[in-house]
Amino acid sequence: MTMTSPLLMPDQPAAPSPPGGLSNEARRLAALSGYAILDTPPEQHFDDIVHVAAHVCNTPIALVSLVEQDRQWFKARVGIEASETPISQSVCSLGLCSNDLLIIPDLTADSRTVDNTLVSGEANLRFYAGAPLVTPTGEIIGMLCVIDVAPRREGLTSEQKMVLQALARQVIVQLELRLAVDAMQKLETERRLLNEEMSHRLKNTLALVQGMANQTLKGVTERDAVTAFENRLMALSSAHDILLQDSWTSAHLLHVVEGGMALHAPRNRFVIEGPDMTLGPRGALSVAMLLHELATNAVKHGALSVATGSVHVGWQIERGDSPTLHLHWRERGGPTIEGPASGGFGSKLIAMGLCGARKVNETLGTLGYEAVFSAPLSRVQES
Amino acid sequence: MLSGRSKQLKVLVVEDEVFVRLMAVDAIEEAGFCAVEASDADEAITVLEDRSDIDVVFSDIKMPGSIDGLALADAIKHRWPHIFTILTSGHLTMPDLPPGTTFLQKPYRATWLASSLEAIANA
Repeated sequence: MTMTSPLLMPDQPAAPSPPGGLSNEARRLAALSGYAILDTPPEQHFDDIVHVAAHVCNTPIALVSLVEQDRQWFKARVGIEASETPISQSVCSLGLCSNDLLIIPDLTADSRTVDNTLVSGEANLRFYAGAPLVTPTGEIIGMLCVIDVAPRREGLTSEQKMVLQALARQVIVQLELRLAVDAMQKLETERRLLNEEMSHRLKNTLALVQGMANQTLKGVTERDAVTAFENRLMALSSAHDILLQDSWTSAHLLHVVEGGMALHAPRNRFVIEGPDMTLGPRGALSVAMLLHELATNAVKHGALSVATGSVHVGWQIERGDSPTLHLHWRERGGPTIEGPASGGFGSKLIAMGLCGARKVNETLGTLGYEAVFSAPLSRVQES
Repeated sequence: MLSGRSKQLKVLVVEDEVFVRLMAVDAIEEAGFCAVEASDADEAITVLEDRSDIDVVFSDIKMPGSIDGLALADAIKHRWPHIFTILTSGHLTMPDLPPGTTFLQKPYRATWLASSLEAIANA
C-alpha cells in the first residue's frame, strides 16, 4: 500500500492523448498561455476578487494562482509577499484535476502537503480552500484560493463555498474580457492601418492621374482648362484627407468648409457660420467640390478678386417632415459683376447643387453674388 | 554654374511611376533647374555613386527595390551629406523624416516643388 496520492500527478497518463493532438496538460498550459496574463502587472478587477474572497472566508491570505509547468504565479494576492512560487510549493496544483473545490482542513495532516516547505517552514500554512479556474473549454488553469495559518476542522460554510466558486467564475470572466478587449483593439488597429493604406493608394492614384493629365495635355494651348482640371483634382484630394480623419465614414461640415476654403484664400477672407453637423462621404465630397467652384469664381471675378472682399459661408438645417440642409454662400465687397458667370463646366457643377439635388437659388445683388444650395439632410448624410 | 539669381541645381528625381516622374521632371525644368531620373532607390544610389554633381534628391517614399525613400534619405545623409533631400508620399501623416529633409504630400502641385527647390537654391 502506498500513501502517495495520484493527485500529486495531475498529468496522469491514464487518458491517452488523441493521435496528433495535445496531451491534457499541454492543452491546459496552452489555454493558460492563450490568456497572455502571466507576469502582467496587478489589475484592480483581480485584486478586488481576492479581497472579497479573503473577507468572506475570513482568511488572512487569498490568491488568484495560475499554475504553469514549473511555477505558480499570482495574478492577485492578499496576505502574501511572493508573486510566485516553484511548483514544488504549490498546493493549488493538487486541485487541477477536478472541477470541485479542493479543501484541506489541516495541511500538516495531509500526506500530499505535509512536506510542503510553506507548511513545514516559516510561512506556517495550515488551512487551504481553492476553487478551480475552469475555462469555457473546460481547462483548469489555476485556483482562486483562500489560506489560513490555523487549521480549520470545519472547513468553509456552504455560503463561503458558493461565494468562492462564484468568484472563481468571475476570474475567468475577467480573463475572457481581457481577451475580447485585446482582440477588439487589434481589430481597430488593423482597420486604421487598412484605412491609411487605402488613403495612401488613393493619393498615389490621384498623383498618377495628375501626372498623366500633365503629360497628355502638354500640347493643349488652353492652359486655363488644364489648370482648372488640376485645381479640381487638388480639391478632391483635400476632401479625401478630411474624410480619412474619421475613417471615411463621415466628416464635419465645418472641417470640409474650412479645408475647402483654405485652398483658395487666407482664413481672414471668409466667415464660416453654422451648427455642428456631420456629412456622409458623398455629401462631404459634394460640398467640397461645390465650394471649390464657388471659390474659384470668387477668386477670378468675385469678392476674392480684390483685397477688400470677403465671403460668408453658412448653413442651417430646416427641421420638419423632410429635414433639409441649406448651405449659403454670400460675397461682399467685391467688384460689380455684370451678368451671370459663363456657362462653363464650373457653372454646370454649381447648377447641380448639393449631391445633385439641383436646388440652387443664385442671386446677383448689388452687394455681390449670393447662392443658397438645398438638399435633403438624409442625402448629404448618407453613408 | 550660376543662372541669374540662384544656383543651377541638379535634381535627381526618384519615382517608380513614370507619369508622376515625368511631371516632376517638367516642374523642375520649368523652374529653371536640371533634372536627372531614377526609377527606384537602388538606381538612385548607383547614380549618386557615379556622379558627383547632384545637389538635390527628390524621392518618393514607397517604391519597389531593396530600400525605400526613407532609407535612401538616410543613406544620403551619411554618404553624401551635402545633398538636400525632399521626400514625397501619398501618406496623410508625415513619416519620421531624417533631419534636414522636407516633405511634399502627393498629389503635389508643380509650384510646391518649385518653391522647395528655390528655397534650397537661395539658401
